Amino acid sequence: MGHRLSRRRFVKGAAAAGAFAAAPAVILRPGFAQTGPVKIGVLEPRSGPVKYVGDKHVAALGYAVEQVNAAGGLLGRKLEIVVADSEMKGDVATRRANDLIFSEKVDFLTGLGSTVGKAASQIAAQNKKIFFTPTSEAVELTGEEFFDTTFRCTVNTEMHSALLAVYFTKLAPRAYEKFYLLSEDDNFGRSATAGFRRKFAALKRPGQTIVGEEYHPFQRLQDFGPYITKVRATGAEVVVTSDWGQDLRLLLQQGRALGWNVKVGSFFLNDPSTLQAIGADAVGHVTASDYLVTADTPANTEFVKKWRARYPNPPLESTVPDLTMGRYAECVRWLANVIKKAGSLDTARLIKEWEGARFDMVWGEVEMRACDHQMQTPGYVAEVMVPEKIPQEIRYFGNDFPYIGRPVRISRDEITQPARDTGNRRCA
Amino acid sequence: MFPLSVYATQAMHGIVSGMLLFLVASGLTLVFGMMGILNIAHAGFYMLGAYLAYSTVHATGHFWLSLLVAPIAVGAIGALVERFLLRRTHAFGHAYELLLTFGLFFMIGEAVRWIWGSNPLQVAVPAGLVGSIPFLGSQYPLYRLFILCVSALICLGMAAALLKTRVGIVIRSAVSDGEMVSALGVNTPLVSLGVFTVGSALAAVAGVIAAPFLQADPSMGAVILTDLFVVIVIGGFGSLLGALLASLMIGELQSFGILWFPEFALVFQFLLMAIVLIVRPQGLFGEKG
Repeated sequence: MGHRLSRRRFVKGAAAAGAFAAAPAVILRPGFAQTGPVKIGVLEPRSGPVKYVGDKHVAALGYAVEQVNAAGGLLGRKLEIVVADSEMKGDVATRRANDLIFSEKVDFLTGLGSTVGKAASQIAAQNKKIFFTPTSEAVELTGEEFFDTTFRCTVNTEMHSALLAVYFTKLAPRAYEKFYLLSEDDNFGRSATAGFRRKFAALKRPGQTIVGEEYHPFQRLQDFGPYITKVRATGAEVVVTSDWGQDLRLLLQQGRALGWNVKVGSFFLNDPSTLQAIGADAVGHVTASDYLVTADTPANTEFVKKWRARYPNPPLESTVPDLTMGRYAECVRWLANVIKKAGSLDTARLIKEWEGARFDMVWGEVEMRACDHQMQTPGYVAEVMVPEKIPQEIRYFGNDFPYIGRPVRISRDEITQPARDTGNRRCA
Repeated sequence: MFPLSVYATQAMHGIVSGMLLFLVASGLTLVFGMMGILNIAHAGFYMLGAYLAYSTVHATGHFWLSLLVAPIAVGAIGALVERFLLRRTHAFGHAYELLLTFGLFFMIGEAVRWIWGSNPLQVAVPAGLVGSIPFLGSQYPLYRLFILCVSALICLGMAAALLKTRVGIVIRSAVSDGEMVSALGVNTPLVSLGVFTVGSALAAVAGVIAAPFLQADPSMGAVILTDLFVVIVIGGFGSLLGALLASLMIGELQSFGILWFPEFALVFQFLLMAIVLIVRPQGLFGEKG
């Protein structure tokens, strides 16, 4: 229960640092011009069951903005975030995105989730503002529903599933043969599964087959027993799932209890709240992403060190930047770099500057593909381990619960989606 | 085609999740039968039970103690709700009572987030119920069997109390003709208070039992709410036997639906509800209103 109080104080502190306490610094630093701060409008859940996810993203953005301002700001101005509650709904996000642009006069938009992302990308395009996303992985955003104001600084579902396909066909310690695809019945679950199928078909070794594909209701199922019994009956050795939060937790716990002997390939098994609740039943399963906090690069080591110095008493979920938090922080750092290089906030000039740009993210070198604004990036796959097996320097949660260990790196060429397959007219 | 053991295991899943659902629904249907109140806060009481189990285990290390703590604490809350809130709204009709419990449901949800936070909290399976036993060439977790046994015991206990004891007779008579029972000198407000308290305590027991299986999660109340309504509608408002049958039917429909028609697995329960509503609008065992 101690966590609760510290969380509230923490979020307040993070938000204040990032956004609302800009005024005193302006007075202290006459170098910042009178034109006011450069503003990023942020659409995150600020209420409801996944509010804590919004909390940690606000913390990550707050951190990134602080870093930019500490290094002198942007074009002589401060950077600032303005947070609005998306309620994770498309229509609400549309309304709030308009508010952010017309009332708050934000210069950029970002936000969590594919539904919110689609709404925000449209509003941004109508108003000639840049929408950048480190969390919406829906392929359409940079494919068929592309606007030239949209930039994705993370993997899309095709690339995300490619990481798992490459891992299981080339890198896994054992030659697993029977694969079962079980995901939430929503847009993300279906495109992640389709993406895995495509990449798997291209890479699979002799003997490797998919023995089942299934979708379960989204975040409302209590008993996964019937699905697990079915998976067991097929003799599957690997279960690939896009589940997260409660679904992922119940699936892994009930799977172990019912004696399934599978390796789960997951997209999001790295957030400490979920891993703490799953406990020992998560051990041995793997997760994939472009950023993972345990990635072994000097820049990432430095990033995590600075993060922990900045937030010495965080609530559990913000102890270290998890995959979406790392992406948020790095995406803002890249955006700031692009603005500096363009020397202007003019949208057309920013687009020109960002297209084809290369940048060193803390996890490796990335490039913004010019035709579809899809970041090309290397990625990582890591296994969840008992604390004793995790190297001391990345055992961020002590011996409390299993967490991911050092990941294996997968090069960007292995996971890239060829430009002609994106459905984006500019790439044809 | 699957081997026989798959069908057997699937049937077990259906019975277990059906019985857990019944455990939650039993208190709700008891209250409805007695007082005519569809207590939406019941799902909140269930969630409170799970969280109290977490806190009890956390503070004392004893899971079994929470089977005492949670029902008493939640029963007390239920008693206060009945005495000071529901009794005052009673005169204004059922719509107001419904709104009141609806509001309470949200208040409990927010209070849980405020006290325990938004993260799911783990309640370990109590020692002695860890692990599985061999089951038709496969294995079945002990804790699932435990859920089944407890629910069955409580079901039998309730049936015995209602059918064989004096209190049970009073309650049943109060259900069928409250005014007459009152005229005969029975203190019906006291009976209402008692029934509501017991109903709330039952929800807490269900929450405690569910906690090691589902963990304490701030969305667990909202998740079970739809299923509860389906159970009550199919079984017939206020019928305990109806709730039992409906819960088991829903459990099995889901289990075998997932086996054979996974794309439509969750549609079946609503289909069943629609059919029941068309053929027997008062529910399987409900009385014509």
